[in-house]
Amino acid sequence: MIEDTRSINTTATLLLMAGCAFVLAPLVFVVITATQSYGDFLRNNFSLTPGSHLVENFRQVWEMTLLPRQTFNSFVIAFASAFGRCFLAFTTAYAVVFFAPRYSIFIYAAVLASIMLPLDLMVIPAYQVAANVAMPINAVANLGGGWETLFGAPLDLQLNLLNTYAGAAIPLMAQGTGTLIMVQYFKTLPVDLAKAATLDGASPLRFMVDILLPLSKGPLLSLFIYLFIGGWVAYMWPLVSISSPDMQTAVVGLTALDTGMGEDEIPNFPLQMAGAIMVTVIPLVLIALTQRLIVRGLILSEK
Amino acid sequence: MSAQSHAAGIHLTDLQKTYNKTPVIPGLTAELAAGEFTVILGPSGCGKSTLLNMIAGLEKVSGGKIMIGSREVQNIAPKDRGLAMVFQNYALYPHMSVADNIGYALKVAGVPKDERTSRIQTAANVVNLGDYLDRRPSELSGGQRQRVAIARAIVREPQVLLFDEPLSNLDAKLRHDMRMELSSLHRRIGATSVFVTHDQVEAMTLADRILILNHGRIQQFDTPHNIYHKPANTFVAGFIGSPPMNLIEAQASNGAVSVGGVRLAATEISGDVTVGIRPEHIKVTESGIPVHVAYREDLGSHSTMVVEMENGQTLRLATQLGEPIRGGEWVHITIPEDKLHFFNAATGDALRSN
Repeated sequence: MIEDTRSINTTATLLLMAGCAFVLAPLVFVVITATQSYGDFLRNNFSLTPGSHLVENFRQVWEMTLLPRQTFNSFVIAFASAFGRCFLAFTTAYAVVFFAPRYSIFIYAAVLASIMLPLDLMVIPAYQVAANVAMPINAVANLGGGWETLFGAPLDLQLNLLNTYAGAAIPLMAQGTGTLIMVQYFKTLPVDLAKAATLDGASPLRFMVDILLPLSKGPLLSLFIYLFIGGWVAYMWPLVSISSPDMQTAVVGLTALDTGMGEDEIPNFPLQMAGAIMVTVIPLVLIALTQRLIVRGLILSEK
Repeated sequence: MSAQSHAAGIHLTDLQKTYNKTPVIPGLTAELAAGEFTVILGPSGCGKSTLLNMIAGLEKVSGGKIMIGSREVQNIAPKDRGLAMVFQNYALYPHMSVADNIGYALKVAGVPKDERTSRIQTAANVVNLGDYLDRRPSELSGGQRQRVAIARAIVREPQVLLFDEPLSNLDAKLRHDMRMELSSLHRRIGATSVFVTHDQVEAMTLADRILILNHGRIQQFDTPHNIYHKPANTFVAGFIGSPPMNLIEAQASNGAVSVGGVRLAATEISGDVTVGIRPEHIKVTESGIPVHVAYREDLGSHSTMVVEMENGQTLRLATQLGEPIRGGEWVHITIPEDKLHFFNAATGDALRSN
């Protein structure tokens, strides 16, 4: 068989272009719709001719809706949950790889369990715990009426995290994919690094901060971006755990954006599309800004 | 950087290491003199790296004592033992410059910046890396990286320098150059050095004394000369030398030792005996024991052959180049009596070494 690279190239290019068109068409539709005014939209329905109301729509979203505030909420929650997950992934992987304690098998089991039981499956118990963080403590203390016999009344601590950033972000952190990724990365590092640092007098903590952390910059940054976007687009948990609109995240807020008043009213689709663009822009900018850092980090940490 | 006064001897007393109830080192006693260059040599899995790691404090001791100088160190943290280590794969910190790599231990120890800088410069000069201080390890060659690792070890002016197969990642030529450098470095610094390797050439060329280890037991601990010329047992005899010593099962009776009816030498012993003869000591002569050349390799400086005696006994021998011998030919060999080694056939221990 003779390889005809030119025809392969042409076919590949055509396939890629078809794929791009398939992926980008809805986005084009979103952008075009966002440029139209509500009035035009009501008159012409969906149209492929761009209108002139893009800036006006953005201004309306910015000034008239809760979306700016909700975008800020999204940022805080996504940042906190991604940061927390990276921190947990880094420290857990460090313990498992460099100390290999006897119970590391249980850590692994917990990590796997957290992956196989995503938050979406545990929404109700997670909600109960968020509604009162002390609930598990209460339950253990009151086991068989233990607390009551000791102190006369059952233990009833209360700490409600619903409608708070912590309540939205912390449950999102409880997921172990990052740990697996960091474990794999740490296993590629030379084992003698830790020995060398030990002989240089570095304590385990110092080794972690001085040697391991700088070496993990690349993988951690990629992981962070990935998890940040995961937190940004999280829908189910923020919807459940946050009820007040001004604490709500942007993705949840989008669905409530001018959906029309009555049964028959047509939603303001141009406004919704403008909002969707605004909500998408922040993760996009984040990726654009850090892309080179991520790549450089990966190259650096290979040697 | 004369650290002669720093050097401290190492005393190992009944040192033991057990993994999951399997003894890796069943109990080892040795005395490494101050300033001495000791090479620990043995096949893989013999416990040599474990021994080094125990001296370094990277592995816990299951029993016994380690003394460095007059201090008992087996329960002291590695950094407080006054030693430094050079690793096989360099183990440099990839994200730090050469200077930061060398100076990391000083930084951790809280040495002031000015003193740190001057000590880093001195150590880098010792290994001829004075001009490379700002480079990253990834920008250096293998040999240069190993020199950084050595500078990082000597910057702390340790009493003891440990080397864990530091040359095995280098190519043959570089390994030779580094051997010479390490040797002269040791003469200049004078720290007690312990060098682990499985390469007998490194051991023979670098060591003041070689400690040969097998299954966690010392087989022989002696100078390279004695290791080669007076092997303590068949393991050492077969391990050192390339090609290795011929070890022949022979019988001694009536004042002579013979193999398959061929008389080798006069002896006072009797019974079964293992006779050792180095390949380079066997001579091809006009008359003598007739042998059949089964295999021949020309190595340039010399050639090696596998020959077969009439009774089926095979021997390896090495000759100077120029012997016009072809494979398949019959030649005569002479085995000089004074070059023979005798070992107990059952235990393998040396009986008499000429």
